[in-house]
Amino acid sequence: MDAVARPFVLLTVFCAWAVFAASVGAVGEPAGPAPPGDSASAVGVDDWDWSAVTGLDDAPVIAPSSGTQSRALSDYVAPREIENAFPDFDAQPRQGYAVFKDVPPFEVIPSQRDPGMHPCSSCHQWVKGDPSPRNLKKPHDGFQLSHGLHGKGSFWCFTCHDLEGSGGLRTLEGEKLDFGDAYILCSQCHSRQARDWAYGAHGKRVSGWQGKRQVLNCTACHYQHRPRLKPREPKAGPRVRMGLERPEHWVSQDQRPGPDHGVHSTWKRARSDDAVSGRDKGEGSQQVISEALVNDEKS
Amino acid sequence: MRNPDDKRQETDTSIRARRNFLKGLGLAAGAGSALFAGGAWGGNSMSDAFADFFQENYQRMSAEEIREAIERIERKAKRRYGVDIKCENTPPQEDVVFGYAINVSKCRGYRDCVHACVEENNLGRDTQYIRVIEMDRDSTDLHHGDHYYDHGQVPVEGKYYLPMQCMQCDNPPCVKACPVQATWTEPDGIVVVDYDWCIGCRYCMAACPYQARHFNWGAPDLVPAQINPDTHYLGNRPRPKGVVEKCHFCVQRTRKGRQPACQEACPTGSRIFGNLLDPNSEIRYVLAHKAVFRLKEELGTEPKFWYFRDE
Repeated sequence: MDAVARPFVLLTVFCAWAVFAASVGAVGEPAGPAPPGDSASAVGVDDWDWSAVTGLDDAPVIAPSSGTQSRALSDYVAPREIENAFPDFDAQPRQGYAVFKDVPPFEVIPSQRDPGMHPCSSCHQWVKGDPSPRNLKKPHDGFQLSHGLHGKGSFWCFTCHDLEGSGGLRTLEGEKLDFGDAYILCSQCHSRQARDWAYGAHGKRVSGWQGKRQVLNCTACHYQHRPRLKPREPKAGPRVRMGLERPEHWVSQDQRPGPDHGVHSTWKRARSDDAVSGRDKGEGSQQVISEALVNDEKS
Repeated sequence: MRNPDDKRQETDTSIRARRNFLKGLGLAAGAGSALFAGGAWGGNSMSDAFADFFQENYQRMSAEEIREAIERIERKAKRRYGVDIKCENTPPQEDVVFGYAINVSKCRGYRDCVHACVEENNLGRDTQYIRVIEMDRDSTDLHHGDHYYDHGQVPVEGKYYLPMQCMQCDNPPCVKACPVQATWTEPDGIVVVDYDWCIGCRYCMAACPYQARHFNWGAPDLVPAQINPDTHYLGNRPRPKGVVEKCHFCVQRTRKGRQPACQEACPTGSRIFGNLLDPNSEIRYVLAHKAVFRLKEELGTEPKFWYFRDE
């Protein structure tokens, strides 16, 4: 690593960690009231409706005596709950991770995606790696990092990846994670989604509403390097039925004329005649429509 | 709630005897005319046609009669489509009332649910139980929504997508409208239709404020290779012409603990299904912690179908 890049990496990692730590209130004194005027910097946690989290009512809540309150998640987390939430993990409290009280036990289905080019050591035991942020060249140029706002350069591979060993994941605190545990990594920043996910309001439960609760990992739906879902073509809509035709504004609203949905030709003609003769003629337009109905029944 | 034993006692034994006699007559005639059982009787055998004619309302049938009716349904499907279907009569589970919630911030209008539903429920290919409505952002006016949208790509800027299907109302106007009690609420909260008892008057369709009911103008145009053989009497068994049908929360799946087909197909995870009576279920979490709303709530139909959005 060259001398110019090293401070930049450190700064990036530190900033990311600091923002995250501030947002979950994990920095410094865990329960102390925030200094006045600090509320602006703690955006994201102050507008978080903590009372919405199940079971927090009977948890040792620090009474919000004055102004904003900085609270550590770990205050609410006992090892038992961590065991429930993450069954494959040792029961060490994970400060700041999205572990919530009384989460119904669940299992995470590991993502079936092939991570590709792993482990890193398969090449980098011979080739020296360059961990400095730069424009990626072959063979790493396949990755287009577009991770929300952070895609504009504040994230770098080693914000989430571990260069050493298997090249798996690594939390901001340096803890090594398997790819199957990506949800822990994601929950460092996306704590609201992690909360909803843990309770079942985000993500997807598979294999039935009853029985063992099995949920998909974050990376099953979100491609980790570009998590926003792509727009795509919708499947075919319903067939248009007489009397349930498209609303008036439909054609002007959509620039691209779509395929014929099976609108009866007589009906279409009646509509266009109607448009020519003027729609507000009362009985006349009624007649056209009833004629169209008769024609339609004949055909 | 339905209690078959009470109903059975109430049944006039003389009516029952007469029906059984006529059924027997049909059986005898059917046995005599087995040679002609091909095209006549609507592709049915004569004995089956007779037995169908005297088939009771599902709620009044004994277990034995339901079993016979189901066997006839399976035979009919074999004759009509050449497919061996398995029709079941899975009873509702104890302490289960189904509810559904949809996250409208997540729905992107792909219509994957619509087509999964069509395939799962053996719908005629011109019928869709689920109607995904494209709505203007900042509007909840259903009358200005468009469910025929066919943009090249969804979601479209300035729109959101609101999937609608049967809301399984707790106070269902369709049930009240039915003049022959061919539709009713099951103990697990699903509003079902006895397709063999329905007379096709479509009063229920007029009564439903959600346009959730669909009428079979013809026999559903099923492709035999695409028929889903796992069926339920009150659910996705092949329907006859001239009856009303609607979403039944995939009764053939959900009573066995599976998710409905639409939930399984949704690629965005916006659909949340579960037991309203289980305080640990996902749906209960959503109802307790999200700002949920229901459609046309002012009508007092008490839908068991909620919508919410991300904070």
